[in-house]
Amino acid sequence: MDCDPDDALELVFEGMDFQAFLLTVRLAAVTTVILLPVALLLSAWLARSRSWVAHVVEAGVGLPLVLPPTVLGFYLLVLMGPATAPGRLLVRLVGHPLAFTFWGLVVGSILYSLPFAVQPVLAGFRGIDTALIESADLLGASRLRLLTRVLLPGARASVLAAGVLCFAHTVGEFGVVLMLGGSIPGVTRTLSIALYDQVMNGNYAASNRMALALVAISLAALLVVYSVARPGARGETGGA
Amino acid sequence: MREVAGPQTGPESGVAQQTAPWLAFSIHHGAHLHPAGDRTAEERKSGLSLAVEASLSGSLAVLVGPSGAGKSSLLRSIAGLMRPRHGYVTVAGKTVCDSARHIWLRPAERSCGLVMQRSALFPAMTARENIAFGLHALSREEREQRVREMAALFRLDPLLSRKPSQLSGGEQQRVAVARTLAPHPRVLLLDEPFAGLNLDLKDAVLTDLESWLTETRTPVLYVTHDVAEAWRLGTRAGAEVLRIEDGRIVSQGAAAVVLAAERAQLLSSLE
Repeated sequence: MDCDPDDALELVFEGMDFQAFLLTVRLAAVTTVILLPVALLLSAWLARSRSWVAHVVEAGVGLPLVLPPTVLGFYLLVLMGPATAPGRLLVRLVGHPLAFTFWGLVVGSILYSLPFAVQPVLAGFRGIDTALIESADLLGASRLRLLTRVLLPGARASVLAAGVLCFAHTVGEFGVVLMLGGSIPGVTRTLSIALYDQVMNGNYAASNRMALALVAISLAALLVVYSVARPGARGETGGA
Repeated sequence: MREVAGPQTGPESGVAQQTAPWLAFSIHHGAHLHPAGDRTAEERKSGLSLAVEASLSGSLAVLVGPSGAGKSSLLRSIAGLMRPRHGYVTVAGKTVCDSARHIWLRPAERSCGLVMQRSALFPAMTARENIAFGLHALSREEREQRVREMAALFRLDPLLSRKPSQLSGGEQQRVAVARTLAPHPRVLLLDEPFAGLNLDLKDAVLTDLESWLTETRTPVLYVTHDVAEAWRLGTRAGAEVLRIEDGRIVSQGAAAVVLAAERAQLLSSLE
């Protein structure tokens, strides 16, 4: 039996919401580009500080890991709303509420994916030989120089893992996105929301394809992370 | 009681100093040490009580003592990597640390070069880049000139483009010493830098270092647990030896006096 390639493609992608797919990729990319530098600076501080403030911040960073996403989404919705001072300030700055907009999703995604960006980088920085950091201190390295010439080269694999995990985790967001953005086509309807809608409508074939797309992205991300983490493949070394 | 061979000098001695001390310290830790850089940090228990005072005027001081005596802790306190609970440190006449006056200078502000037991070369950088790391304040031409000088002094020219993983242990340590000396520190602290090298390698690097010491007149505090090494360095002109045990300096002075107990053994081993 002959199989037309076009028919095969149609079979695979029929029912796929490409608008939602592209929106999801855009959301994940923007979140990662903003969050990664923040994670680097925050991790560089947390790795070296022993103050109680750092302990509190580190715990706060990890909160989204255990907090139900809908809870986070709910409180962000309230915070961004006109009933609160930050919400009113945002409206004054931006001209409109952030809730139910793409950039509202970005804010929510940044907070929700924060531990996935910070924790791998922090572990990488903490794994660097202290003698290297002390040598840099003795030789007069500024904090920026320490970060760019010692910490980052020493934690390359961790930084890559952080970027990939942040991206993949944002792709799969549901609770925060639903709370903050609803399901506005082309604006806030990400792939996971579109999947939910299809299931609610009983369209299981389309739901299956979207779910498979999400599985494929997640698996690809994990393959990258674990490939980089394998001994011999890592660029990280603790010292000479 | 600590025995001191020769005139005792120091800020509190009241004895007129023949030459100004290049290093003076009085460092006291309780049973606890805590890392520098964070006034609110919790103390980390070191298991060692350190109470040392000394004033060094000669060109070379050798600190000898068994493992765990407090040698490394002392050096790290001088360099600013550890903060003493009480005490002071002056380097080349400048107070870099004084708990009573709340003075604390960061390691880079102390003009102390410290070579540790492990080379701690930056693995992603070549030997050239490692040596140049502390020279960021210089112009590009001055930086390159300084790197060439260090490379010539420690015979590193063929190795400059290699990364630390491509160097032997002895080569790594030579690069580490060159990197420390490149910024021309006012004082050099060496924490058993050649402990992991075989005798021939150690001898070669020590010879290079001694040439540099003679040439630059940079005062050195050299830490070792190896009595033979302490004897070799401590018998140089202008050198003195300090013995440390259980966190206390128990004697200071000429090698022949401080190492008297081991001297007979050393001399018989040379026959």
